[in-house]
Amino acid sequence: MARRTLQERLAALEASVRSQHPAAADSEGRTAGNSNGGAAGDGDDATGRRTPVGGPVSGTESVSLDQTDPFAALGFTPDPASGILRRELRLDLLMRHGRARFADLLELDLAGLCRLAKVPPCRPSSLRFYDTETTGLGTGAGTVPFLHAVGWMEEDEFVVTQYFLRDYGEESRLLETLLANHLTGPDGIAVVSFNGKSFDWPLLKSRLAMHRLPVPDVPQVDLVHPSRRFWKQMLPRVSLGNVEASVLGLVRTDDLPGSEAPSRYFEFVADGDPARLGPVFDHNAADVCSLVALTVHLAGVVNGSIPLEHASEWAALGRVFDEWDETAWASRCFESATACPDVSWREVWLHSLHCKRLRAWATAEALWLNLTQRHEWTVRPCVELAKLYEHQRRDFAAALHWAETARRRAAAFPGGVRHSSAGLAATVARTAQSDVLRALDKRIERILRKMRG
Amino acid sequence: MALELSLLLEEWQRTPSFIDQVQAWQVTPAKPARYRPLPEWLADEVQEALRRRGMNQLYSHQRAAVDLVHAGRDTMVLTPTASGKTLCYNLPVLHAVCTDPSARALYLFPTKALSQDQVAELHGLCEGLQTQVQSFTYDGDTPMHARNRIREAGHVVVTNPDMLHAAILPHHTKWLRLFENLRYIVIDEAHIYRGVFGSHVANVLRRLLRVCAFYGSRPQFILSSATVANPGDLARELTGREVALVTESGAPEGERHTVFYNPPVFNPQLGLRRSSLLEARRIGARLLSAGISTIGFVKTRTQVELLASYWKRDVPERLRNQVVAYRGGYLPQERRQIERGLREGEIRGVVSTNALELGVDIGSLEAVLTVGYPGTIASIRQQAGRAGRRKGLSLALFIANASALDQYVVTHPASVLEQSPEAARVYPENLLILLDHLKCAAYELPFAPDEAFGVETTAELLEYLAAHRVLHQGRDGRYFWMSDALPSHSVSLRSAAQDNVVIIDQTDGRAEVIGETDRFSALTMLHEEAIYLHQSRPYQVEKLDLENGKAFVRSVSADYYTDAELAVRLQVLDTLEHQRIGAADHAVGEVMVNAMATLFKKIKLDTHENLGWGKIHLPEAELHSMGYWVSFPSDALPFDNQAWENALVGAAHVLRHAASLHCMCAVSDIHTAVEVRDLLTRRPTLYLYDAYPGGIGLAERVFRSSDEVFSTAADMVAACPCEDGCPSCIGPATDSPTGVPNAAVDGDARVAVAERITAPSSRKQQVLALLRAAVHRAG
Repeated sequence: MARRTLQERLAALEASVRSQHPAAADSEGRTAGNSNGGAAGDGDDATGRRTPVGGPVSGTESVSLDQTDPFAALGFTPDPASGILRRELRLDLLMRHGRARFADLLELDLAGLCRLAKVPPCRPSSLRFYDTETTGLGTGAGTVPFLHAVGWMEEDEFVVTQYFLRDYGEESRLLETLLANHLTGPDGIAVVSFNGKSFDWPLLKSRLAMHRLPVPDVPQVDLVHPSRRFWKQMLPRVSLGNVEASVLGLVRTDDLPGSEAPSRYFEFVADGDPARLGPVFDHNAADVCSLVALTVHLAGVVNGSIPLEHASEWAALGRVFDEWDETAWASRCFESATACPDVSWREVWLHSLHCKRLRAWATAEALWLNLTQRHEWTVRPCVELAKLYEHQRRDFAAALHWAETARRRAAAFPGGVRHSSAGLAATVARTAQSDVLRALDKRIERILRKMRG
Repeated sequence: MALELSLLLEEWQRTPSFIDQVQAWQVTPAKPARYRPLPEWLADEVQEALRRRGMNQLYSHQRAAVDLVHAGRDTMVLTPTASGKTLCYNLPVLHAVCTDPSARALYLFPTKALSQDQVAELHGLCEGLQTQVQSFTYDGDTPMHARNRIREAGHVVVTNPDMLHAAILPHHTKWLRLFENLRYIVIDEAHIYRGVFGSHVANVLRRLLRVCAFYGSRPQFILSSATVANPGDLARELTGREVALVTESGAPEGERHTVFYNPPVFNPQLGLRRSSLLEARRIGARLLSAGISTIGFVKTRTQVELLASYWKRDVPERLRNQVVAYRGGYLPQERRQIERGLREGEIRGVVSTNALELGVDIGSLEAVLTVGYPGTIASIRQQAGRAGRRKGLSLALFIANASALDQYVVTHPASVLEQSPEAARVYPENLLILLDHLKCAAYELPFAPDEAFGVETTAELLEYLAAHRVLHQGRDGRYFWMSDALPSHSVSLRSAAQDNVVIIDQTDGRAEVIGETDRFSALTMLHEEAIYLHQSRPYQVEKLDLENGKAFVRSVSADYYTDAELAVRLQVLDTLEHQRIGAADHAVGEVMVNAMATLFKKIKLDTHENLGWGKIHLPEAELHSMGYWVSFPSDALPFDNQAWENALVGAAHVLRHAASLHCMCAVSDIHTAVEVRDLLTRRPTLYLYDAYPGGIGLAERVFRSSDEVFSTAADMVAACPCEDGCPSCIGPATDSPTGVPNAAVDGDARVAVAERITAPSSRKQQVLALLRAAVHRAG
């Protein structure tokens, strides 16, 4: 019997395991994007595990920059100093991207946005807009950003430079170039990103650690957090795409879903043809431009220079000012919120709490009365009214009326005891209900005592 | 209390009904402590801290170990439970941190409960130090906000192999400070890392060392282990390094009585013995009533509850609340409470499964009852070690049950008392396990083309993965991970084939996982309508969802069990080695097993009547594994085909048990197949093969020690009190009955007779003849 080679044994062994566990092949072969619904067995093979025809894959063969350079066609040329492939897009400042022009960035007052992002104040020219495309979604040691894009203002242009990792072996040089050219400046720069604080930046740090390169300490303006504050109520998911479409008035055409980027890169790595990467490069550049538009918008919102449309936005801004102890501004925001046509229970309630904090009892009373009349299930405004009449106005009869109303409602509407009943587990609601009922019983008892005495 | 125990032991020695059942009674005399002074090199503040805790000197083995570690040797300490081995690694680690606060250590414990105990002890020691030594447990329960701090500031990071594999190594860049400064890797309870689990852990350690090398550190290993026969091999297979061994304990030991007790036969005709559990009930209640603290080890969770309730019922009223059951499935808080009660002496009696066998600190008990052979000799020893830890008289009592394995152990007490313990085997070269960890390692750091990952064939394996586009070879020749998946996610350290079938009990609308099995075994054990016995309770399988790896069962009251017929085609792919012993040809190699469950029989318990049958509709399963086989010329024994079949089937049954005893693995880790006329050898052939894809080294081990395995098997059969072979020795009879059973012959005479008979007609004798022929060296 002829000795079997290790390769044969491996293939048979893996095949035998896989035939018993169809799921195993699936989890390895699938690409991050599974949006193309029918990605069952066959589709996976196409993207992940087809053995190349004709001999083993070798790096030197697969990446060949010969006479008809396909990268040049995509606008990428080697960086003179490092040899890293890069592409530079220079955009006129007067160009529009959504509702904003890049030029808007120039005159932008960043104080508010910086304060919101908890970074030292900085000038628009020191912002570095940063986004990456990666080989996966984790931030573990095996996930590699293969495309880095940095955007910044340079005289009358907005410049986006993209660095492409043609071969894994180049990464160290790529990162050095990136750091030297963009992330170490004399004038305290700040990195602007969308979700960069928990993804792009930690991943960059991980790559720098892998190459034993120093990690620069750069303030991070991650726009995902302010975006969530302002638009969580409006958007099903606060993603850059959703914010673009609903807030920035941007529509992308022929855009590649970011989740497809890894598989396109793996195809390139295997066959050396970058043609199918074109949409990935464009998607990445568009993301960076959107960061500018979003920065302009968010800074404008915080500065009060951009009028808001929705009650939830006004209320979010009001809470920001409340946190900053700028109560006059906060009051104006909450008033605007309450005056919006799409105002809901939540904004009125937040407004009333703001007034309570300021001891603006008359306004608070009006808001609570409004809430109790408009929403027959709501309990907390009734409780607040009971407190108001008991402690401020010392009108015990009115206090008793509202305490009893609150008790009646709490017993009838278990969900009404929390500001929002949505998404609340029934058990939690029930616990809260019994607590509220007990507290109300005590309150009623006390008011009755006061009335007697 | 020692007085009560010594009185009771004297009484038992005088009582014929007890002493007649004793197969061995060994008395180990008390041993005084051997002390050594604290080493001079030890940092002053550590010496201070020890003195303040009343430790002015060390036991001799502690001193030997810390000196070896200080001299830069990788070191393994093998000493009994509670001999203070944690100090063997805590001292060098604390010394290192006190002299260089940037130094780091990583502690690996096999289970969470253990790590909590040891961390508490380490904290106690750290309190006396001036240097702030931060030690943290990093496991699944560690809150997110604490993790960053642990990565940055933890001098000692305590974790388990699973966490290291899935959470730390793939994110090593976040653990820069740990890996750059890692001085010691402490592996406690190293004997646990054997078999499949050990093979995984060995590969995880390869990955760990690889990451350390990347950050420029070369940590030293400090291992601790219960006694195993091959500590040096175990350490080498786990860590890839030669270690210095410390085996002589200097801790004091009290006088210890080890008693092997075989319950009396009450039906000599059928060879039926009294139940070991009922004997444990009687003996345990006697011990407890005499005020002797006692722990009972039983094999299943049900038995835990049963024996504990018996004892509660049988002891005097005042002791009733001091007897508890302790088993997996209890909440951690409850377990901690029981452990504390045991340490502080508030609990006098406890019944447990193996959960307590590991080093959980429960103080010392006076008597240990091991009810039924726990599977390995190391387990017996470790359970016995629960009694009488430092001073005073203690008793370790093993009560055998009626199974062939137990009967072999109880009638060969030397195997536990005198012989060296079993070897703990690791087989890191299992191709599937190796390949899985090679992927994980490539995710963590790219592979240089000439880099070796434990095996010489690394380059070939890397090429294979590159050809399948799992890795990509860059222009500099290095191999890079090329997938958006996290490979460690699909690899579980606790099994070889990644997907198991979990068994879900749906009785009373619950959905409780009561067990798991590999997919191959699921075909015969968990097909629909199968009766699945769990803790001796029958469950019926209602649905087998192979795709999602779930079997749904419901508790039933059935007086039958099911036996599935598996049509097995076993094909030898490659013979790696073979040797002839007498007429028999022994070989080891790579096998492919195709199995299809076809139909199942319902067999009545007790009488083994066939109650009917049913069809099984399941796809064919394929298993690539390593196998051992032995074949005979058909004229080697005066057998006809039927006799060959009887002999092969019976021998396979007993060999499987004997092999598991030798390989220190579970019986279910080994599968068997027989062919009266084999495809490859064209002769009567018997196969034993590893039940895990790729093999875990069991078949090879059987091949290397076939002499011992076969003679153990022959002893098991010969010593069984049955007359013509019974389910416990050579397995149930096949359908076709054999000739007329021989008249009963007693003991050794029977063996002699069997050898003289030219054409044995009893199944038992046929099996014995085959077992002997396999290893009989002519001339």
